[in-house]
Amino acid sequence: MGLSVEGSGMKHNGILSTHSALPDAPMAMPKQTLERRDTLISTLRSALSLRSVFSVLPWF
Amino acid sequence: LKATYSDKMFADHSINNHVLIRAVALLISAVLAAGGGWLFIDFTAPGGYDWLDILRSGLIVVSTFWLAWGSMAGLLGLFVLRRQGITGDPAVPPQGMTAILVPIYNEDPVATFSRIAAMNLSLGELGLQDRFHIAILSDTTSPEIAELELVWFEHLLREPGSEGRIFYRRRTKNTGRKAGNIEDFVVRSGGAYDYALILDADSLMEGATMAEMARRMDADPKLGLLQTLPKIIHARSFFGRAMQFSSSYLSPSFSRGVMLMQGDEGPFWGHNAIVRISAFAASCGLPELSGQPPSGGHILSHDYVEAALLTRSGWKVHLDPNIGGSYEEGPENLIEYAKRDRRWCQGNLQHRRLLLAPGLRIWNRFNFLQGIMAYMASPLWLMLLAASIFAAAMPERLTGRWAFMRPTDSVWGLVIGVTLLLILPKLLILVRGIFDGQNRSFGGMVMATASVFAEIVFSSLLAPIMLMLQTRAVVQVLLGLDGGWPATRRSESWLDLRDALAASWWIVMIGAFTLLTTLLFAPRIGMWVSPAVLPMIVAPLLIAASSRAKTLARPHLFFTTPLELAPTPVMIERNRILATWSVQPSTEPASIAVRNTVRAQA
Repeated sequence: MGLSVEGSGMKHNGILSTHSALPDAPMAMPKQTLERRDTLISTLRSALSLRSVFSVLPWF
Repeated sequence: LKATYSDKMFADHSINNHVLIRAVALLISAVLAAGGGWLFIDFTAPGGYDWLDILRSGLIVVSTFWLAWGSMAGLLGLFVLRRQGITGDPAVPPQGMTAILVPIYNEDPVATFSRIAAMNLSLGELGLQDRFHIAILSDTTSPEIAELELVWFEHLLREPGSEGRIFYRRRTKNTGRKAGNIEDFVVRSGGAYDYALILDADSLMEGATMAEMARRMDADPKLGLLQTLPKIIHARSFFGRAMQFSSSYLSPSFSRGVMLMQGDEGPFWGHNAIVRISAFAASCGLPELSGQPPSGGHILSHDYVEAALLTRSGWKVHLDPNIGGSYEEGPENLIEYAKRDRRWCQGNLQHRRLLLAPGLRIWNRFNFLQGIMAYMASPLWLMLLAASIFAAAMPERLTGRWAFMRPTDSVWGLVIGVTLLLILPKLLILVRGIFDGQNRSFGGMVMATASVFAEIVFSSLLAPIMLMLQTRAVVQVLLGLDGGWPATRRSESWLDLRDALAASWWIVMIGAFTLLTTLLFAPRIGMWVSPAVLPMIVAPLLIAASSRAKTLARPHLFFTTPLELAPTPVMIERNRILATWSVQPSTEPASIAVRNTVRAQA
């Protein structure tokens, strides 16, 4: 489809494409787990356990 | 000097010493905080201790720690060489296909779309348009603005090389706000691209910068996200230009400090960054938090969380402030700034729900805490001020041992220490600028010095007002008041005294009440309290005066930046397009073809 752009004063190629829809290329985006179901106490207990402390040290 | 300037220690940001640097920075901050607490305890020792002294000591320790931590980034950044951000031939095409995402929300379409046109042309000049598509992702709710978006999208499609490369879609339901907008694109079209360059409506980037970012993603298959440091441009008001100067002159040093500590766990600031779409899709699907806003619901400050989720999945997240050609625009007055800050406050405080999220790296958790404390620090300083006035006004302290307490070396040491933490990094950046040529590019030594001192004075004057605004924001969030999603007004700067008073009368009242109370009941600490309350009393004047836009024809006394002196090609092109578009009639409705295309994908 051609579309008149006369008088617009813009750089253009004279043709307006109708191909302006986003590509149809779906991608899965699974929801992540961010909230713990544990209680605060059990979370703290687990976080402060010796094994946990040693396991996270290299990441720090 | 340039060749030897700490080159051996910190020249390469990829060094594995980031853990050591973090530890040293934390240790120094902790020592300074403890020192602050000790100085205060030493000051109060002659009068003995009571609960108020213990409270104030605790507040000083916590507040000083975060103040010192903020300064550490600036100080560390002094030891990093400024490097060339773009290496090699900028016209070498990236292998991967990039979607440039421009989420918009009730923005001015002419301003936004002219930026897109300029970036598109910048890519075209390098012959790289075929490696980059542009997707305008509208969440606009105003029917009038949405109509204009269609009109100007049609203008955009007439630009050279736009055919089949520039897309527009508008969501009718803004689920998840900006993060949901990006997610919608990934779910619908992510499979067509390797990378997504996420921008804001006010972002502007050189084509060479975009190409460099995509090539870096090509070069490192484990790199999940690369963040640039956007510099503020096109500011006109005193307030806006102060922020613009700060983002160009001071922020790079602070960001280089962050870079030294980041390892592979760098920050994401939500825009002017490129992500690997497959990594982003697999790792960054944000759930709604349980409960109602402001604590629950959609995650507002999604960028921090997405960076944490990428590193949780083993992807690298890097910040490189040396990549130039990355720009944004900022608020032009304090009220607009505070509106944005209110949104960020709500988002950052929401992160308290995520501090114990499973699997996150400790550094990312610390970043959440840092974001929370960026806002919680204000009520803590305010509590310290209130507790100090209360302590000085207590009847039992007007007599006996306390009556003879005067400022000692300890309290002066504390005041000087806190002041140094605030201004020392800025002064040292100024000194460094003598040697590395930065001052020359900011208008010369005299202009750079005047600008740094003006920035220090101006930010000090605004600090008590910001303290009140942030405290109000924190209180509102903690009381469960949702700030909503107000649109950002970037171009409107001028506030008259009436507008300023309407927005800040409560700050004036609190300031006046505090000063009066202090003079009546605790006059001996009036000298200490007045620097905090006098700016509050004149807040409307400061807000209104700093929102004034000066014409660029008149030379500026302060805050000149290299980008003001010599705009880059994409800035010049954008200004040209904006000038052309601004004189064109925009009332002609969009064509049926465009309407049908947009309707089909909404």
